[in-house]
Amino acid sequence: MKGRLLILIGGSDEQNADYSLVHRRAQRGGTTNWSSLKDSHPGDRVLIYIQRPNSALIAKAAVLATAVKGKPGDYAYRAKIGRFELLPNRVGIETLRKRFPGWAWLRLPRGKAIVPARYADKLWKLVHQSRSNVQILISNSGYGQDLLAKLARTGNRKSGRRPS
Amino acid sequence: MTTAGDTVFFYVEAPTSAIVAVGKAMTPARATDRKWYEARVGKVRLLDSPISLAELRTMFPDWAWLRNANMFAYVSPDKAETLIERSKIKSQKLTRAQTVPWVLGLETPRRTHLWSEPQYGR
Repeated sequence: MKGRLLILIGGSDEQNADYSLVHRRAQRGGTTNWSSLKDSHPGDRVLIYIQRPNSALIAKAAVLATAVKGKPGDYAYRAKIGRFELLPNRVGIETLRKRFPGWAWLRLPRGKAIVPARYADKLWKLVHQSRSNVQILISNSGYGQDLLAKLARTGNRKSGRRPS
Repeated sequence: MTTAGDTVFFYVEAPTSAIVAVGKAMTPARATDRKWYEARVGKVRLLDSPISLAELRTMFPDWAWLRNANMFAYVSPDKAETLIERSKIKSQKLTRAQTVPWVLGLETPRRTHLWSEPQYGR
């Protein structure tokens, strides 16, 4: 039987760098003590929601140990989570609202949540859909734009950087 | 994550604020020491008619990314199809309804120079 599906919240790099942390864990493995629900326990599946400006579910993970009370001044509860993987299909808040119009948490996705059972399977499938193979990369209007013009003229390959 | 063969559009930030080129990812994305991932890109082609932010907003009024286009974005299949079709249009074939005027008052000398190259037809 599948465990519950939880949504845990992370901050953007401007806030507390959870976004980068998730990427590092997905790339190199490892666990982290994440702010979690009081009754989080091993077997729970986790989707990580990164707050603005990302505003999207970007990764999945698993709860590895029962939540423990946080220290004074810290989050109320933290649980060890691991097995981070970036989602094949990042799902933004607007898409979620369209797909799950009756889900109250989506109105103000600030707190941790247990995905209601009636939405869990559908959401799990959604985040595992094959992603689009078309992307938009950002370039600055100075060097980046000149480089593009050069690339177009010469056909040379260059490294393009993007946050993922 | 980016994989080899993915189509990539290049959006240039203000003052250009437009998709100016399209290319292909030649390698999968790989992590760097910083928050960025990187992939090699190639087969870059400058669009004959760049797609301005204003035009993008007209094309996709509900696309939240366009409110503040400052980071990487995946393009959903339906939008991708529209963008790819639009990227093939040559400037002389654009109808009035397909275009949104450039904000010429904001052009910088650098941009003016670049956009004045013959291949852009501007």
